[in-house]
Amino acid sequence: MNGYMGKILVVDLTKKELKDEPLNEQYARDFIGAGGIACRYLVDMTDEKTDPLGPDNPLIFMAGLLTGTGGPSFSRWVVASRSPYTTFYGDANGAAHFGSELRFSGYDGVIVKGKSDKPVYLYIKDGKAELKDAAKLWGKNTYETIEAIRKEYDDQRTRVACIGQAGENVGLMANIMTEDGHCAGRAGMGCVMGSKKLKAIAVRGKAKIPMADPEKFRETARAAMEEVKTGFVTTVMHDTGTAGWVDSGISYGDTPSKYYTIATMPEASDISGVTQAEKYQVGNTACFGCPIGCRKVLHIKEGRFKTEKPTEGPEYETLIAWGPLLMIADMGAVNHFNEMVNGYGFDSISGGAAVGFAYYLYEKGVITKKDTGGLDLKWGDIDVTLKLIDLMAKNEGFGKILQEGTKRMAARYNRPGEAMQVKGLEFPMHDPRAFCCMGLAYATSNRGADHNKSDAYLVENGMGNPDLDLVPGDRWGDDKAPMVVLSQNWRSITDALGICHFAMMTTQSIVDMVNASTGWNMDVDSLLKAGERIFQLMRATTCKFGVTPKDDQLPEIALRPIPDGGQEGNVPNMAKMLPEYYQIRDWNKATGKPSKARMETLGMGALAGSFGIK
Amino acid sequence: MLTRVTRDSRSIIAEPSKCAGCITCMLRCSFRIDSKFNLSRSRIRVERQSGRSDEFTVSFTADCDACLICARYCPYGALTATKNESGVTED
Repeated sequence: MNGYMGKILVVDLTKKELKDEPLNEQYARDFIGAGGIACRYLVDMTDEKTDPLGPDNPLIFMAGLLTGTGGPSFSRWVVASRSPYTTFYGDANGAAHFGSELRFSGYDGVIVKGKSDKPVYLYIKDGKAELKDAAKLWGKNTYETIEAIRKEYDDQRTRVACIGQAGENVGLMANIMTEDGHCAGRAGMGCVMGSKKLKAIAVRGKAKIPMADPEKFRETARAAMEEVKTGFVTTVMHDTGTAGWVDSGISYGDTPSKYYTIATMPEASDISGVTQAEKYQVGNTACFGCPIGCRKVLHIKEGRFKTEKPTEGPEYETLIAWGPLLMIADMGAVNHFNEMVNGYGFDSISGGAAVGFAYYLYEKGVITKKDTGGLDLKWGDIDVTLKLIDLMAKNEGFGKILQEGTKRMAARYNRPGEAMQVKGLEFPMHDPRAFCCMGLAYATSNRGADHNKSDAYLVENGMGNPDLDLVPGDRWGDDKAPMVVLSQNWRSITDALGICHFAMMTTQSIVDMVNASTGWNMDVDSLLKAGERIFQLMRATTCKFGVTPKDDQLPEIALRPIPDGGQEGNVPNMAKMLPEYYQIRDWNKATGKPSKARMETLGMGALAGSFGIK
Repeated sequence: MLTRVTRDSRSIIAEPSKCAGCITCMLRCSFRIDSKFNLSRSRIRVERQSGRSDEFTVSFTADCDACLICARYCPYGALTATKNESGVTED
């Protein structure tokens, strides 16, 4: 099967059985790779009664179709499951070298079901897989876990995806980490992994990815690599990383502060990408096959949180969620929070947002020291934040309440509408009052509010796709429904292919590489149609797990205007945009599900019944 | 620490301090040898130093023929190709 390894490893942790199964060719053809294929398998293996923390909920790792091949930044992979955090469809997208090495180890993906009675890890090398005792790894943070596994096999090129203490303690927002601070962050995938007592998956191998036309692939990949290398986005990302967005974020009012209640704090520029490049950055690291190298290596040489040696620094989301969102702008402190949260292994976006919400509620007197275990939650308090991170890792006391996330906190403390979340997943650090398209993107993303299923705010900044007419518009316009739909379809396909969002190359070169690898005859239209198919499959799945139209609403706090700063008092016009979006997607107004006609147009007519779509 | 390979009049000098670990060099090398991306066949080897370092070692195997493809493709300027008159053997 050209383009794919053609094999899935199925692991039953209850029976301690490992089995190779051929990758379903039709699933590959229709759903391409990564999250698309993972969701399709998830549909087979779950229903509305599946307990997210039960043995029947599978955890599915899947590489992209192009992951591990020689194109620019073709490094990404996805892990999917029913999310214990949101209770709906959940997935998380990772990079670095795990996805590529998974393919080199002989597999396109791994499906983990059941539960182990004691901690284990999975070791896959050259097509052979074993379950190993993880007693010595249990209790280690993610950095220590990865290093310990590499030492055990005396091999620095063994790639590891693992959980930290947060996942071991079944914290609902626990994540999965790979080397040096790369994460598959959102929706509690590490919680599922911890509930199964699976500590890590380690992969290593020499397998070659079979290709239909390797020469054509190489030629196109070489040109695409050149295009990405010389693009302006690459230069910005290389020089300042994702933290480079902070200065734009301040001027747009996109970067939240004080739990989304005030204009961006001006001190945020003390931790911007430009400031970091000037004061702390000593180098860059890159994911597999990537010429961008957006990951910064920082050395904080002075102050309370000085670092012994250089380490990979926080991305934009972490920088803000554990920074200005909490009224903190101390680079050393935020760098340290990043180390801790990555080490413990929980979602830095949801985690920072939960802490921010706690500070917000505390200021209003909704919660007091009685609720917080005696902690006095003051904005900007670094020491209290450190204590809260430890409690969240232990999943105890007030830390457990934070791990449950802001939707549950809002219910617990009777403050509906004030948690900045959709479907139980917290907003990222991009305010929809700065880019109204994101209001729509957050409302309709299948796993909950997130800025990657559609990065429409980047489209508004020239990082869309000119080939598809995904180009900047008026950021406060209310005509965003067609753009958000297209952006979601586009991202569904690039995610399924395993391409990093920052790698800007012509759409035709992507089509050419897909065809050269697989021997298919796709074009731009069929590629986008596959993107829509994947998106609508995930929508049908998340509806099966309980999403209804009431879950496609923004919370009231997101619609409160902030008159000063970059937002200038604007709010997204959801009353206009959401119905237009529903129409384009052909979603039933009562159930929220895609129509039967749409499912049939997308070739999923046979599945419609299983989703209750008539 | 620089590493170097020299064959005939061609040299490649590696500066690991500039290496970002993307292993594009290994992909390009293995494709030239094998017409497939196969890192184990690569004649340039990039390894992360142990202890959770962000530093890499770069080395060349004995059968590297200094074709210069890796240097041409490195996006981070960590590999420099030079023409060398004296034909000095590998460090």
